[in-house]
Amino acid sequence: MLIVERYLDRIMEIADLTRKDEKRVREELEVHMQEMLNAGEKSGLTESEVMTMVEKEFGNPEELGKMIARARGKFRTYLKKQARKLPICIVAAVALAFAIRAAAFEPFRVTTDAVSPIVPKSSRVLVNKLTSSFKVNDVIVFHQEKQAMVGIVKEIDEDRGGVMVGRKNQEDTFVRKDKIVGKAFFLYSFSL
Amino acid sequence: MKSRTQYRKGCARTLVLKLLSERPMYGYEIAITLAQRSENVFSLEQGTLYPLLYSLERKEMIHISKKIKDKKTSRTRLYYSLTKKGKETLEQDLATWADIEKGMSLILRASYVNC
Repeated sequence: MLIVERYLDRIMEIADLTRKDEKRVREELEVHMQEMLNAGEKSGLTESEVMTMVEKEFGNPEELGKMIARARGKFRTYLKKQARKLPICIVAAVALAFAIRAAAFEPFRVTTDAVSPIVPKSSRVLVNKLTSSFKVNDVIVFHQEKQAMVGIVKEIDEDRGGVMVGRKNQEDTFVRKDKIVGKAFFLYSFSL
Repeated sequence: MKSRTQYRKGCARTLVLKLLSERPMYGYEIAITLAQRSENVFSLEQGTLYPLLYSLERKEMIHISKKIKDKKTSRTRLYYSLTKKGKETLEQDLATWADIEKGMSLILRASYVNC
């Protein structure tokens, strides 16, 4: 029986099917060989004689493996294998996207003209959350009254641990460093 | 020998479809029936029967119509039978074969006469 197993292993290795297909094909071939062995034993052949007969009548395992792979559709097998991985890939991609948004870069939409013309109304900025040092004239996004706002750094206020932020037609306000989301980079504008 | 293999390959589809049109069969049964009825002309390389079955299944000419589990070995026999498309293909194949047989024998017989 070991010889049969080895023979089947070789075929399946070359055929390289999906797990479900492999189980089915392997079992089917096994049934066939088992019947051949039974028939051989009935006619009084020794096991090695039967095995020689099986190998001769069943054909070369490498070639058979290739033929089975082709018959079941190599591209189809490839797609099936990929499809199995797809949910994991999607979950990983989504998790990664959220992690990046939370820790490193997050896009914001600017809805006012508060910092135009550097960042005009209806444009997108990407905020780099990794920077902690700011310079005068940097565009930043910060939280104020639970809202994300965009503004320009006017002055660094080391004593109070924050920066003075200016917005158009508004008085400069003080923003504590822990309220700052990060430094913003202009991406693109909606109004072309 | 090689030409024989090529010939057999071409015929195998028609023969398998023909057998399955009679009743559902499983792989070993098909192989044995082919060998017996053809007086062993179609007995070599039984393994290659399976790639043929799988490609016919993929082309939706045959399908697995029942599964019977062998209680002794706990292995399942898969019985194949023809689909509608398989029946149509068989009819076409038989018509083609009838034409070829007629044409071949007419020419071959004629050349015997000329010998």
